[in-house]
Amino acid sequence: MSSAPQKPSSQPLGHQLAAGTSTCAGCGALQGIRLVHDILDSKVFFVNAAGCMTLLSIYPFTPFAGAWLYTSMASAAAGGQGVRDALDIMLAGKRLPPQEDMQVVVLSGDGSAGGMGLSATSGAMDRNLDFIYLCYDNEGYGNTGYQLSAATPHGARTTTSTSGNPGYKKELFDIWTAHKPAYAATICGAEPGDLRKKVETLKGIKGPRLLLALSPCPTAWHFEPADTITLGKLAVACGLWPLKEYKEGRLVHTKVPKKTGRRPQVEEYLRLQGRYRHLFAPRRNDRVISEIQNRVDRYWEKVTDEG
Amino acid sequence: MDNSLDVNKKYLLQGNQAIVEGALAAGCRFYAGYPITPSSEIAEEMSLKLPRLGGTFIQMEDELAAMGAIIGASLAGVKSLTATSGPGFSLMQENLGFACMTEVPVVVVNVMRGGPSTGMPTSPAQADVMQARWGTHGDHAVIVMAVSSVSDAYEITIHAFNLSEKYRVPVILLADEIVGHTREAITLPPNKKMEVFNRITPSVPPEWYEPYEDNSRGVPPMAAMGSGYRHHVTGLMHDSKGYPCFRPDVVKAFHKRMYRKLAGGAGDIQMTKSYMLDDAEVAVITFGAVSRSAVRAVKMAREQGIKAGFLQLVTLFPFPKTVVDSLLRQCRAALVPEMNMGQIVREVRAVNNQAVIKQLNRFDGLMITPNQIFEKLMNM
Repeated sequence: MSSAPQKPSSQPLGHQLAAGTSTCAGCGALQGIRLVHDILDSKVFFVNAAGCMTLLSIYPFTPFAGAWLYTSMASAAAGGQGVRDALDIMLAGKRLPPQEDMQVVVLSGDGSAGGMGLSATSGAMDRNLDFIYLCYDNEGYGNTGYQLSAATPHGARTTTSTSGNPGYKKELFDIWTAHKPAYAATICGAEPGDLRKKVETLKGIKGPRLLLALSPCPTAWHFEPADTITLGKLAVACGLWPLKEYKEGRLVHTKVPKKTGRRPQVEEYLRLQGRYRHLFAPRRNDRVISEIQNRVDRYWEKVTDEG
Repeated sequence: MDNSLDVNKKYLLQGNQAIVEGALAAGCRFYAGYPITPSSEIAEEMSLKLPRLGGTFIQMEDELAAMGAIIGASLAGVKSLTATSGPGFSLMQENLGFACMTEVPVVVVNVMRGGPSTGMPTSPAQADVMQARWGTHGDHAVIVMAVSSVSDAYEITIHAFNLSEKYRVPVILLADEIVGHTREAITLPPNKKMEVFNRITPSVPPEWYEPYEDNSRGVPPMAAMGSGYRHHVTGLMHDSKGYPCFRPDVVKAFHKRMYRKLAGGAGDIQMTKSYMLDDAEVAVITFGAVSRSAVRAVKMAREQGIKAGFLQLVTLFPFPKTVVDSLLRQCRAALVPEMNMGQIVREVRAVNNQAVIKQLNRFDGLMITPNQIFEKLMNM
């Protein structure tokens, strides 16, 4: 498969990730990972950090055709370093034919990616490790019952921020681009066209590459599993989840939402989720709702100003 | 004592919640932690309750940070707690050593699950016993305790804080997935019965104060940082003033004092509970959730005419040698059941290697049943 963007009609018919995993119904993370894996093809070596997706591979079943390494929570990128280096040694010694080479994909949730896994990831970027870092961002520690994470957005309720997160979502994308990696992009499973172009692009690049996937979580965000795609699309449409790409040192927004006033208000997105219910009942919290809206508006004003 | 619940009232609580209530009653007002099964409920409860009591809950980025934060909070004068399980406990080891070296009172709860590594997050085990005692590097003094039920979890958490404050030492409180997640009815003891101990602060003027100066108990008074006393804290080996010092006589005296302060408090520290031991001829010696099966098994054995009794080790380290020694002298045999491949049994054998000491180990993620203990007792 060429590394140039393909038309949606060229989408492979079979899937690299088998159906019937033990993730929750309507899992937004699984949706994104499935799409990415299909485009990356079968020669993928996943290095997983403890998180929801650890549950993909539960004895005696695995949905993976390829390899899977489950490391500790802090050291997935370090595990990836060892795997990549070993593959290179095997290739150089002609013990592994070039066509059998694998993409090393670190798979991690936002808890590990933005918290305890950050040091190992930063180190891997320093060493210009040739790997893909796929972070499924469900904005909290989903696997342990949804506690606050560094990626939990302002105002969202988790089991350790029961009156709403007083802090703000950590910008993992910006932390990555500050390292000047080979590639970084935000994606969402509900936007498969945009996702596909980005994964095709990244396949042809070597070095540290980030895919940061917004992953709506029905279980913890408290919405109907059937609404996963609606939520993902709405997050992009209302401007809360900017779809962007960092390549050759340049940042490009790949899907700019409509202008202020014409795009959906964040309220529409917040209202669909139980984790924001306290912002609407028993009393409406205009201060927090408008703060979230203003931050989105300011973000896109800045993007438009900078062209 | 400051309970977040009413005393003399019945509550249905999970073991993890009871640990929270015990900690709050003991005066804990700072919690820093990181989510991990099967301990996360402790963090969740603390996040709800601490702010109401004027305390602080922080969710940290990992367990290294959680340990670091509670050490800092304790040094500044606030009783502090963190809770975790296997993998997180492994990450805490370096800072646990720091707390031992700098004699900072903190309580660390490890709700044990199957290991090693990620192991079995939702299954119980008791396999972190030796790690609790020896997990951090170097010779060090530390107290390790274990809880067996919801009411235990409440009471022993208070004891853990008290001992930690009294002896300026980290206390590791071992629970396991069974105790942590079991819900039981609990009536809180009245305020008067559960004494709360606060660390002794210096009575000398600031210019005379030496934060690590020896005294008869081997436990120097502890000034809160910011209270006007010079307090230099370092993980390097230090002299009585707290400044780095590698002089052999100072180093030797430091290590001796660390061990002496806990040996001197043995009667106070080494807690056990006994059941039908007065006339016992065979003894079951265990700790944590297995205690529950042991009580039942002892009853079953008594019904069959066997004079069995049970010793629950509440304090695992420093190991309650005196009590175990006299029990081994009294009984013709002892059985040590534990959910690991044989850890605390080594300590029992070290007390008296002439005694008949049998072990019963289960390490498949399941509880040791009363029947298993009973059957062993019948053949002893």
